[in-house]
Amino acid sequence: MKRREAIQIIIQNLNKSIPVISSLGLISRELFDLRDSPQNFYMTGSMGLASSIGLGIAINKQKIKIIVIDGDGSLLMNLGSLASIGFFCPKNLIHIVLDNEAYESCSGEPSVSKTARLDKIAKTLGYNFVTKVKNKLDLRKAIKESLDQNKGPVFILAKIDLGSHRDLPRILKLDKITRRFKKFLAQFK
Amino acid sequence: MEENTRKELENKFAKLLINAGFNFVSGVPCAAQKYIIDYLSNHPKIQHIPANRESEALGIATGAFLAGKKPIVYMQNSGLMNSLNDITSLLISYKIPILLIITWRGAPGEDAPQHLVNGRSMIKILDTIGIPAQILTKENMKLTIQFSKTWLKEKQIPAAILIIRGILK
Repeated sequence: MKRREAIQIIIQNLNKSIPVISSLGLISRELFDLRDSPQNFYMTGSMGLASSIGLGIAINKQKIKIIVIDGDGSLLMNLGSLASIGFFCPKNLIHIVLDNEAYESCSGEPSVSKTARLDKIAKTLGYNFVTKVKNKLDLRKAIKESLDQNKGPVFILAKIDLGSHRDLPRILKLDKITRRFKKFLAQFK
Repeated sequence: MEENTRKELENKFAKLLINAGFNFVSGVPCAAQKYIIDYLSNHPKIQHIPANRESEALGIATGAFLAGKKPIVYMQNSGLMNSLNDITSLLISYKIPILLIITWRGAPGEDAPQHLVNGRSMIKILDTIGIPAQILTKENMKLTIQFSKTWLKEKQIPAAILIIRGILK
């Protein structure tokens, strides 16, 4: 499963009323390219913070599900976020990590996620539902199951393959993304 | 006696922040803001989500802002240095208006050597990235909050209020 395929599966299973916070760099650009929507907040610069933004939203919008699409390198940069999410335990937060064991938005330099057992860490730190998937079918199943139930925080570790195209559009109007996304969120409690 | 006065003044500042409409707070604690943090975190109108690192606090507060809250993030200036990229590439670039309450360690006259480089460069750094910084005193509390509130609303980027240890007495 390539990154683009994983993101395609995620968005195919989301209706347009579920907010998505995407981590930098190619994850956000891929999402932007596949389906730009007011429901997306592309976090392009502050590496590691996608799950923290997700936490801040989840505790304030408890009636809806929140999706975070993270990367292994990004998560490792802000691993403390898992402890905070475990502590505050928002049932509506679904944290998906696309794990290619590398910094592919750079030049594919290896990360240390191969031995880090990120799923076990999430479980230990208080996520209520944790799963590791390696193919499209299991990813689809995990997302559907997470959306149907209110048993979060959910952690889906999706192992993906290296090797994706890089000629993706760049997100340029960042402040407009903020306004559009804030307005989108304002319709929910 | 001096401690009581400090407590009263910090509580007064916290009350003024709440009256100004701030309703969400995150951060990493600093002893110099003890009574501010204590007051805010125990107030029913305030949602308090503490963080492990200042970057994380800024991320959580950004989420809260997107969800409709008016956030404050408290930190020491050591944490400001930790989280500079998040301030520039997230808060400023995306126009996320968050009030930063920052303890100015290493301010003129302080002796803890590990803080001195941060202390002498902080004002210039904030100025360079375009964040206004006001030093809090017992006389200017209302004014600093009013200025910050207007700045956040008009510019949609952060404003900073600086706390110097021992200045509120």
